Formats: sequence, structure tokens, C-alpha cells
Amino acid sequence: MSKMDLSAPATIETLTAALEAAGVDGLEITRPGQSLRIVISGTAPAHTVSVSDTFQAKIVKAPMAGQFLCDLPAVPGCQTRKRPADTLGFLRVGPMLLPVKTETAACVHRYLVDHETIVGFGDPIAEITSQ
Amino acid sequence: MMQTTRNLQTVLIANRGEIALRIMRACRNMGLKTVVVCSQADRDAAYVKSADQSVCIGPAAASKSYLNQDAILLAARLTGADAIHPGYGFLSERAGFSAATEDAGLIFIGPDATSIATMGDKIAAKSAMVAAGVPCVPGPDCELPGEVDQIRQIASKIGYPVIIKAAGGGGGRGMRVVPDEASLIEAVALTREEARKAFGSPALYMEKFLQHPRHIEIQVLCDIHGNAVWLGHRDCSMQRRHQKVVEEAPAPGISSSLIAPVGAACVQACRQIGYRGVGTFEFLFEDGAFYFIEMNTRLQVEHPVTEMTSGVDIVCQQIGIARGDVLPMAQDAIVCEGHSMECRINAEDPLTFMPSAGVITALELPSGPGVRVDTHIEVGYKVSPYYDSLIAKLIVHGPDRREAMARMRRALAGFEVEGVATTIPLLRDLFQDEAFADGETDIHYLETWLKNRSAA
Repeated sequence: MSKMDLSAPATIETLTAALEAAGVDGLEITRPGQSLRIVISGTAPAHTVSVSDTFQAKIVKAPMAGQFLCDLPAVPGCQTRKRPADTLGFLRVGPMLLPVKTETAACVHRYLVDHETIVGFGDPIAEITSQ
Repeated sequence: MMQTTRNLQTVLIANRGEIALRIMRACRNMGLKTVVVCSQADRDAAYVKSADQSVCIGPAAASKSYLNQDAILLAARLTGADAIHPGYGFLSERAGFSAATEDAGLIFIGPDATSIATMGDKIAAKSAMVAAGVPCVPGPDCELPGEVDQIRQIASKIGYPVIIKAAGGGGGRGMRVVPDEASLIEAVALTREEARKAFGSPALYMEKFLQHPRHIEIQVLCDIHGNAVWLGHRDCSMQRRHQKVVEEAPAPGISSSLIAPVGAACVQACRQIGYRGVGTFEFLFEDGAFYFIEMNTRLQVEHPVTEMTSGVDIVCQQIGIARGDVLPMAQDAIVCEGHSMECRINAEDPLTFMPSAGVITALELPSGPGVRVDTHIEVGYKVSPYYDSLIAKLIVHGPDRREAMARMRRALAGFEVEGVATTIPLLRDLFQDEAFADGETDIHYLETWLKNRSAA
């Protein structure tokens, strides 16, 4: 049995990239104590994946290249609650700011990039916990 | 009023693969920083990481990444690039991209939008060449009329066989050969409909169809100060389905006295249309005469053979011209020496030409005097199914054609790629062919050779 941590962002990112490259819509892995379900969203503003472990986590990816501006500093202990379509942060390109939003009610578990980091399309930005 | 030199510190490379790496090398030689944009399929490639900065701009599909003009311009803004180099293919010959880049306050490393648009319209291009005294294929430099009798009269005056071409076409698409009057009108109707669907314009033109021509090119460099030079000629007749397979410089059997007036006319044409940057005039050559077919307003895949014979770094010159530099050489300083050949190495089955995707598991590149390999691949590189199958260019230079061919044979023998199928075995066979070794084969030679090979 693989010891792969299904909640690790790097694992999720690798699996997501592999699914996208293969043109597959989704994947579900279940094993004792962990289950992972990845759904590739074709029309959503950002790709999300969910991990079922001790919490429901989603990785929010950058919908385009830009300089990421955190809406709030990373908050430990799942303090920052977000309603659907709440803004996680912005992508800045020149004078333009593109909001990065949640699709479901969630709270920010942690940001995966620093404030003002330049990110590319598909880079993981934040891990949010579904409510 | 003469334009002054523009500030250029960072070049964004809006392309991928070997040409992205080639441009990066030129930028480094000039002390410029580089930004490479990439798709998700290319983001882990070593050449992407070797740029000063890289930005993933979209998913694997080229339409959403390398052809996404807005994403590229945003990436330039994001990274503070001063200029965009489009490479070849993708957006390199889009007049709108040149204009949008300049409108955004950036330098487009290529011609202005007007030149690209003029040369992209085959009728306008031919008209400009006729005006500049460049020899063209017999046929009117205007759009074919709709009136059937007039079409018949034009064809009769040119003499059969004729070829009908879409004004907005290119690369072998949107054309039809007409052997006689009986099939003329139907051919015009079919081609017009194809042109409308494929190129968005039903405009057609008609020319004499040359039956056994060679494909000869002339490379030009033009600055914004009215200086222009041509860097000798290339033979790109070894083609399969209008795609070049082997290129060489100079074209065998064409004397300096024959080509010199044509080269001078190309330079004159560039001055007349105010062309800036690098460009390639493509000609058909038959029975000792040249016939202009089109001008490519970008860097060509096969530019290295001209670099090897002329000693001019064409990409560095292209960037310098875009910056506003004065061309550092005059025509009489251009001396082409020796002979150069280039093989395009594609990740394709050498018999069926089916594209081959996968991971490179072993790689041995040839080296030695007069051997150059332009490639972005390495062990572990994943050849993507999303893009053109060109994975490397093998270029050799020798004191004469015979020695260049011998070097190419040795270099091909030492070129090993494992993990994907490549066209190397085909090229090894081709370089053993006697007629090719003799030189001066026409554009149909390779197709016939392949047919005979598969029948054997």
C-alpha cells in the first residue's frame, strides 16, 4: 500500500496536473482514514480539489498569471470564514486586479504563496476548508 | 524623422521548444534578461527553468496559451518585459499581435503590423514585389474576378497548367492545380469556398503552375534607418507535404551572378515598403529563372544554415534592429563561406510519420567541428502531443557541399534518441541517396523517393 499523503498539496497538484494532461474529468481514491476526490472544473474561475481526512480541504489554483495579493494574512486554526464567491485575494497585472474567489462556503486553512508573489496559471494559491 | 534607440533590458519569449532556447541564447549574448511564457504542458521543461523568469499563462492547448495574445501581453506587463519575441509559428505573423504589442508600449521583435498584413495578403505582396522589380510567377497581381469568361481569358493568357491560390493562404494550404480549361471553373469555385472557410476571405489569384521547381530562399535583414542586406540563399526543396525536411545554404548549382540581382531586388523591395527586421523571400526556381512566391515576415526554422555560412547571428541582429540599432554591416561585407545543411529532427515514426509522444529515456547528441544542435530536449523531457513534433535541428557546416554531407552522415550516425520514435533513421537513409548527393533536386523529389522507398 502506498504511503502517499493524499492531503499533501504537492500530491494533489501532481495528480491534478496528470488528470488535466490526460483530459480526464476526475479521480477518486479511498483508503482507510483518507479519501481524495479531484474534480476538474472546466468552466469554474479556479480549479479546486477536495481531500477528506480530518477536514474537507480544497486547493484554489490561479486562474491566470498575476501577482497574488492576499485578502487577509494566513490565519491558523481555520478562523477566516468565507461565503461562496467571497474573495480570497487578488491577482494584479499592472493596474488590473482580478479577484480570486471561493466556489463554496469555506474558510482559509492556509495560503500556499506569499503576498505579492508572481504566480502562473494553475499554481496553487490557497488551501481552504469546506464548510 | 529617424527613430532613436529604444530601451531594452528584458525580452519576453512568446514561444516554446528549441526556438525559445535559441532566442534565450541570443539575449544572453546581448546581456539581456529573458522571460519565457509557457503552457502547463511545458512548465516543468528544463529550458523554461533556464530563463531568468518564467510564467505559465494557460493550459496545454495552444489556443489558450501560446496563441493567447492577451495572456502574453499581461505576462509581459507582469514581469516588466520591454519587448516580445514571437519566434516562428504561433503569433509571429499576426499583424494584430505586432500592433497590440506596440500599443502596449512594448517592442515587437519583428516587422510592424502593416508589413505583416501586406505580406500576409498574397495579392498585395505580389503587387509590392512587381513594383520593386522582384521576379514573380507569370499571372496578374490582382484578385481573380468572379466573371467566368474573364477567368478563362486569364488562364488562357498565362497558359496551362495554372494554379489557383487563396490570397490569405500559405504553407501549401488553399491552392489547386488546374491542368486544362475543362476543370478550370469547378476548381475556382471549390478553392474559393475553401478559402472563405479556412482564411475568412474568398479572394483568389491565379499563376502559372511550375512543374519541377526548386524552393529557393533569400534571407534579408533591414533596420529602421534604411539599411538592408541579404545574407545569401538557401535551398529548401527537400519537402514532404509542403513541410521542409532538409535545408541547405547555399543552394547548389546557382551561381553568384545569377542570384545577385535577385538578392539586390529583395533588398530594394524591403526599402520600398519600409520593412524592418528579418525576412525571407521565397522563390520557385525553374529553368534558370526565379519566381517570387511569398515573403515570410519572421525568423525561419532554417535560419541556422545562413548563420553558419554568413557568420551573422540573425537572432541577435533581429533584436538589435527592434531596439533601433543601425545594422553593423554593409552588403559588401557579407561573405558567405562553405556549405551548411540542416536536418529537422521530428518525434515521428520514420515510416508512417505518425507523431510520437513520450519521455526521452536516453539521448546522445553529436558534436565536433562544424556540428551544431539546436534543441530543448534532454533525458527525462516529455515530448508533448499538443505541439509541433520538431524536437531538434541538426546543423553542419563544411568547406563544401560534399564535406557538409559527409559531416551530416557522421552526425546523424551519432545522434541517438530513445523513448520516442524520431525521423533520424529516415534522414540517415536520405543522406545515402545518390541523386540528393548530386544536388539540385526539385520540390517533388522527396515525395517520390518516399513512395519508392515504401514500395520497395
